[in-house]
Amino acid sequence: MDEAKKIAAVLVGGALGGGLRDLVDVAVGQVHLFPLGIFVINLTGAFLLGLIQQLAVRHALPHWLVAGLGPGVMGGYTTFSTFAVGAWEALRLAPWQGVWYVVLTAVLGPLCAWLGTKAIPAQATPEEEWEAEEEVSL
Amino acid sequence: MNDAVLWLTTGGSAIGAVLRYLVGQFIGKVNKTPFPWGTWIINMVGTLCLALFTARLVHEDPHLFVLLGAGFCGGFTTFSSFSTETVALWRVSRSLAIAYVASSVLLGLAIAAVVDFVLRH
Repeated sequence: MDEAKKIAAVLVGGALGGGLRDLVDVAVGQVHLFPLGIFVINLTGAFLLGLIQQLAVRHALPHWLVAGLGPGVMGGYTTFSTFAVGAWEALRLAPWQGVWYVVLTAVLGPLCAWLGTKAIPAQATPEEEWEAEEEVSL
Repeated sequence: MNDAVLWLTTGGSAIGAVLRYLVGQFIGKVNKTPFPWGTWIINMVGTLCLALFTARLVHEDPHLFVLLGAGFCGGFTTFSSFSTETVALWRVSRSLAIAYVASSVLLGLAIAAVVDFVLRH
């Protein structure tokens, strides 16, 4: 039952993410032969998935919600296949733009995901709060 | 066509995302290594499918291409999980994380290039 709920959440999330990808891609478009739309989508999606995973751990979000937002929305929003096929086309038609697209995506993607996990300030443990209170009272 | 593109992408992505979730879970159960084989295989297979659809469907059937390409392949493959898995892998083994990124990107490009050469020329 829990598994069916998660699959339903991924289905709905995947639809929302895919639709959002089309809207953002159309809005951003491409600059010369650099696929700026997919570039922006993949980096923002990597950041947001890092953030979602961190929120899921911190606030013990329900499994179906995590599945719907993570593999669902962010998985549907970001795309590896369009990146790879688009990168090959850019490499073929405008090699330098293609090289920049590949290198920047490969390096900044994981970096954005890492930044996403760091975006929420670390919650203070009870001891730290107590120490902070003590500092103020001194 | 623009409205059609939005809905075809939305529908295709929903199916692609569910299939990715199921395949990913299955490979995750079988995989006993820290290497994210699930996403790796999903992204390579999805890239192969998109390259084939791009070579054979773009002009022949634009609507079916959007449904299967931007829709299904776009939703099936994922860059966000690829990125978070790289960060997680980096904490276990930096060389393995670099190998994950390099092999995904280079093989993905090679698949797109080979399909393009074989089917377009």
